[in-house]
Amino acid sequence: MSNKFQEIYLDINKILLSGVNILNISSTLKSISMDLKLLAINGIVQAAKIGTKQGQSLIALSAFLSDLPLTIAPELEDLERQSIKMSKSIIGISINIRKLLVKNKIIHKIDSINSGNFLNGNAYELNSIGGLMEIKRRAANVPFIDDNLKTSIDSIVESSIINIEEIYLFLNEISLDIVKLKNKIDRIRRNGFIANYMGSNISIESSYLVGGKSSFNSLVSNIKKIVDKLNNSLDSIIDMLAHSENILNNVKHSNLIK
Amino acid sequence: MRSHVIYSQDGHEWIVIGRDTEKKEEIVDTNQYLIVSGNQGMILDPGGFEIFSSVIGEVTKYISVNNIKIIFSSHQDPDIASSLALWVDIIKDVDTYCWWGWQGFLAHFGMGNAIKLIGIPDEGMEVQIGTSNSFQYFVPAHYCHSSGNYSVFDPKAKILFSGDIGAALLPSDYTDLFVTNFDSHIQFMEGFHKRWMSSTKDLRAWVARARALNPSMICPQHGAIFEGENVGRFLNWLEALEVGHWNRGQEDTNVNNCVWMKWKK
Ligand SMILES: [Fe+2]
Ligand SMILES: [Fe+2]
Repeated sequence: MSNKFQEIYLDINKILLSGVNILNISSTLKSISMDLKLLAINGIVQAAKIGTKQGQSLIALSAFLSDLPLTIAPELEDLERQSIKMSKSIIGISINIRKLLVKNKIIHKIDSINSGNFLNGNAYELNSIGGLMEIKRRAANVPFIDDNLKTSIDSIVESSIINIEEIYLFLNEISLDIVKLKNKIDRIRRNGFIANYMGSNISIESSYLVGGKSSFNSLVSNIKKIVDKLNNSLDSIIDMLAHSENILNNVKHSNLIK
Repeated sequence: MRSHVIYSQDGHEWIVIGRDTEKKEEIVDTNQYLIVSGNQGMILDPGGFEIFSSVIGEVTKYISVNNIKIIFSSHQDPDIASSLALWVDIIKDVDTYCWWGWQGFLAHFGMGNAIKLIGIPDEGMEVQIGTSNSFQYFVPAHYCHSSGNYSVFDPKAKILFSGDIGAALLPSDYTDLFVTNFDSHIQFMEGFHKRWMSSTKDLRAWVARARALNPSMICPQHGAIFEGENVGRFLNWLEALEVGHWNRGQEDTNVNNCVWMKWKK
């Protein structure tokens, strides 16, 4: 089988690695979101100590902030679920490619049993419907020393077509999964933006305070740090998705598996 | 990979497929058996994923892969069954038989394919292939290696396929398909049986069963085939063997025979 097909196999495994990395990052996002909640609770405690009208509005702002992780939680779970689904499709492709690689070996074995007059030195590829049809056509026209060999080739070609069709289905599913993952990331990022916005409100509100201003300043700068961390993680997921999308497009337009 | 017809009469054939010279060195050599009867086929212990293409290449010399109707797994090991997904990927209409307790475990070899697994009851069962009276009997061999384990007896050919019973780990320059010198063959079997079999009692019960079947050949999944007088010699040797030993048979039940205990001292 051509080296290009082997390359596709390795490329698909690279996407799998991205899928696993996305899963890892999703779990770190959960702890980031928990950090935000702890910070907000700390804000509520600080604001309660003030006891004035300003204290009341700071409590409200911090309480809103502490609810954000609750809003993010289902999004994070969806992100995780979607990544697992994508990984399953990638494994599906990987398995089908392995099956095709094995079947290609069998075709060559049968050819050598048939004294090489079936493939006739040509490398017909089992990784494209065209190549498979060519093998079937040749099987119908070339004399075989035994009918078993011919009918076995037919079975192998038929099952290989199913493998290629499955690869196509999985490729399309992964493309859809990537779009969904990107949408999820946008929604999570929006929550980070809201957290930063609440932080600046807390900053404005606390600037009128006579005492205790510094604890709110550090609260605001910590919120900013957490949101930056969140955005960095989301950026690295986006990078991995872009990389996976590139590989997928190459596979789809490679004239292999067609 | 080599294949050799070991029995052929009236359209009923037994073929051994093994001695794979192309396999990777680290993979233990296995024998796969194909029964062809009335243009239908049955595979006994289909083998591992790594050797699948070589095995099926040999199978096509005797039968079209489509005509294989039964796959038999004597037990659950990967050298027996890790190729199952590939078999059922190519052959659409095939039943795989294994001990009822292994069904859910062997399904793990599926690789996205649904393997049609049929559970064999503890006491065994019979199956038929081909149009002639070709019945194959699954004979219990539990705890003789695996806890859910079977041999296969073909009364027509008088062949007993014994799975890992009688297995020998042969050196790479051993090319004979049949055991030629039983006494010198013992060295290749002894360690395997003592370590990979758990119950002397069950092994002796299997020997009694095998004697009652009176086979003219005993075909193991590793090593060489016993034929003629060597069948009796093998059964006698097996009957006298004490199995279920680790630590070279010394102090197996000693509580201190454990890294943790030694480390604690
Ligand atoms: Fe085994
Ligand atoms: Fe084995």
